[in-house]
Amino acid sequence: MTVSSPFVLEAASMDSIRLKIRSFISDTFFVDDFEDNASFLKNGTIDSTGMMELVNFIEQSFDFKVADSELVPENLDSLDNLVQFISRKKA
Amino acid sequence: MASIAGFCPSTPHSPPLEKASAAPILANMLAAMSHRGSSHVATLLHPADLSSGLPTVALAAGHMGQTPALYVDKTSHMGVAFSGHLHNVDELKPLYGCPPQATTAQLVQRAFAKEGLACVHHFRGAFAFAVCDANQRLWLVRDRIGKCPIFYANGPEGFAFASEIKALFAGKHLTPKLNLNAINQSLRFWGPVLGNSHFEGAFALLPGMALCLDKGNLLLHRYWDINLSQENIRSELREEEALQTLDELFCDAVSKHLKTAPQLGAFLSGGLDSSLVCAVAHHQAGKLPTFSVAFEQARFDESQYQQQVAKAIGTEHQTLLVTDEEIGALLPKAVVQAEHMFLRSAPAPFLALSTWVAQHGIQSVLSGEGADEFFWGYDIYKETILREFWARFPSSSVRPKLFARLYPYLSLSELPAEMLQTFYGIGLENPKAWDFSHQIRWNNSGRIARFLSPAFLHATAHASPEETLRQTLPPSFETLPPMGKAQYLEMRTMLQNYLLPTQGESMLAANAIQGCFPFMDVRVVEFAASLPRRFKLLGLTEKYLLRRYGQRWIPPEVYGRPKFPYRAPIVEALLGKTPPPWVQTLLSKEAFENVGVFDGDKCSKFIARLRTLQKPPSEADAMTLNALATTQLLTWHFILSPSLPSPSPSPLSWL
Repeated sequence: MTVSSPFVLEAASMDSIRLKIRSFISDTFFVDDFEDNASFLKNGTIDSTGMMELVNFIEQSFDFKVADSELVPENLDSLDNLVQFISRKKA
Repeated sequence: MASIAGFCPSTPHSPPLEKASAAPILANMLAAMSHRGSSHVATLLHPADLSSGLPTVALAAGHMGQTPALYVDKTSHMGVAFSGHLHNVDELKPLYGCPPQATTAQLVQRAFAKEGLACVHHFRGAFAFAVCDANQRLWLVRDRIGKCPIFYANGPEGFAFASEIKALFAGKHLTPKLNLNAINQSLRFWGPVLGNSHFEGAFALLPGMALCLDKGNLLLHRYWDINLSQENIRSELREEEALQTLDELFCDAVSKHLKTAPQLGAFLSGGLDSSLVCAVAHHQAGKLPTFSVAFEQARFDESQYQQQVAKAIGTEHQTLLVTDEEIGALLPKAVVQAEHMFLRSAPAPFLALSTWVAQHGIQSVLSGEGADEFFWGYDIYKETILREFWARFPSSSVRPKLFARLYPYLSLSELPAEMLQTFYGIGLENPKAWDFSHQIRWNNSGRIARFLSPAFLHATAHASPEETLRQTLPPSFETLPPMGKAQYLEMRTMLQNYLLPTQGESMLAANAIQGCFPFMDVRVVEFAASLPRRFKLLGLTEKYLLRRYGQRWIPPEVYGRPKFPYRAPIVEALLGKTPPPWVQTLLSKEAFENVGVFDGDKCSKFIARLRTLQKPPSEADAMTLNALATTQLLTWHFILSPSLPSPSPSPLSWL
C-alpha cells in the first residue's frame, strides 16, 4: 500500500518530530514519563537553563532559527506545543 | 565545645549499671566524637532508692582544655553534661549563686535545681545539655535556634543520646540504616524534616525544645518559638529608633561573645553580615584575627571584597585558597562529619577553613550566619514578595518581568520574560497556600528525584515529604502573614536542617571550634522578628536595616553590594582534571546500583554528560551531582563500607 494523502504524510512527519524530541528530552533531562500536553516548566520536567538547551537542539535538528519573539510557552512549553511550532516553521 | 553522651536502660527491672559494663560503651561513644574534645569524664547516677524501679543513668562528656563539661552535685546526685557555650554566664552566675570559677555544667546544675526547665529562658548561646535531676528524670535541652546538635534513639533496649549520631552507632544503641524518607525529604527541602535524621531511629531534638524521660515515658516540650505573627510587628517603629535598638542589641551580642569565648577569631566572607560582625568585634576588642576562603574560579571567589573590608576595618586578615582538587578530596570527611547529604559542596571548603583556623590556635569563631534568615537577605523572600505582588494581578504582563532582576548570578536571567512567567507562575492561583513561598525552590531541588531508583521510589511512595513537613508545623503557622510563613519555613528547613548541620556548627565541631553567631542571639532574633517588613525588604533591597546600619561600620562598596551567596565548585571538584580517587569507586554505575538509592543507568549517563560539557554546568546539574555524590558517600561510610577502623577509646575518668 502506498501512502499518497498529503494529510497522512504530515501526520507521519509530526510523529517523527515528536519521537525525536521526546527521546532528546528523556536522554538529556532523565525523565521518562511525561504527557504530550504537560507543561515542562510547571511540572519541573525541564528547568530554565534546560529550555535553552532544548531550543539549541531544535535549531540544530530542524535547521531553523527561533526568533526571540518566538521564545514563548505557547511554542515551547509542552511536547504538543513544540511539535505544532516546528511543523508550522517547516511548512 | 564539647561532646556529650549518655544512656539508660528502659525497663524498670534492668539491673543497675555498673562501671565495668558502662565504661566501654561510654568510652566508645566519646571516642567517635573525640574531634569535639578529647578529655573524657563519666558518671553513673543510681537512683537513691533501688526499689523505685528507676534505671541507672550513665552520663559522659568529652571536653578540650581544662574545663570539664560534666558536673555531679554530691548532695542531690544531680548530674549535668553540657555542650556548647553560654555567652551570658557572667550574668547567670550571680543569679544562681555560683562562684565565678564555676564551670558552665555546674551553673546549669544550680539553675536547674532552682527553677527546673524554666531556667533555660535565661540562657543565651549555643547549647545542648543533659540533666539527670533529683527525681531521676533525664532531660535533654537544646538551644532556641539549633546552633548546637543533640540526637537520641529510643528503643526496646533503652534510651541513648549524643552530640553526634556516630556515637549512637559506636555505643551500639543503633544499627546504621538509611532513612529513605529522610533522603527523599532532603531532595526537596535540602535536609530531612526537622526531628528526623538521615538514619532510621536516630532523631534530632528540635531547636527550642526539651525532652524529658520520666519513668520510661518520653515527653517533648517546646520552651521557645519565634513569634512571626502580625500582632508582634511594631508597625510604628521609626527608622532611627530601629537602628539604635539594633546597635544596642547587636553590640551587646558581640561583646558577650568577646568576653566569654576563648581564642576568638572571625570569618570574613566579604559580604555585609560577616563584615558587620568583624567591624563591631574589631572595634570592641581592638584586635581581631579574621579568616576567609578563596576559590580558583572567579564566579565563586569573593577575595577582592574580603581584602577591601579587612583593610577598611583593620583586622589581621588571612586567606586560605581552597582548590577544586581539595574540595573533592575533603567532601567525604565533610559528609561523615555532618552525617548529612548536601546539595552544595560549600561544607568542604568550610571544613578546610576550620582546620586551618584551628592550626592558628583559634578555638572560637564569630560569623555572620543567621542575618539572611532573620533580616531577610535571601532571594526567597524577594521571590515571595514578587509572586505575591504578581498574584494580585495575575494577568499583568509587567509584574512578572521583575523576576529577571531577581537572580543576576544564575543563568535564569537569560530566559525570556514569557518563559519566566510560566516558571514563576507555579501556584500563583493560591497565594495563601502554606508553601506558597517555597514551591519553586522545592520543585527545583525535587527534580533530583528523577534519578532515584525504582525500588527507592516504591519504598517511599506512601510518604509525601510536603505532608510530613506540614504535620510538624505548629497550629499558629496557619495564622502567620505570608512573609511570616516564608520565614518560618526558611528557618525550619534551610537554616535548621541544612545550613547549621552542614556548615554552621558541624564543620567547626570537626576541629573542636565553637561557633559564635551574634545574629542568632535570641534578643537580636526577637528584635528582627518584630520589625516591619519595610526594614527587611525595601522594594527589592534586601536586609535594608542592616545595610543602613552597615553605613556606620563598613565601606560603601560592601554595604551596598547585592547579596552573593556562598557557593563552591562542584562539577570542577568532582569531575575536573584531578578528580579524587573516591569518585571512580563511588560514582560508577555499579556503585549506584550497590547503594540502591539512585538509578545506576541514569546516574552514569548523567555523569558522562557532565564530563563532556563544554561550558560551566547549570546550577541544577551541579546540585544534582553533589546530591548523588554525598548520598553515595553517606551510605558508603556508615552502612556499606567493610571495616573502617574505629577510633580507639581514651580512658574515662569517673566523677
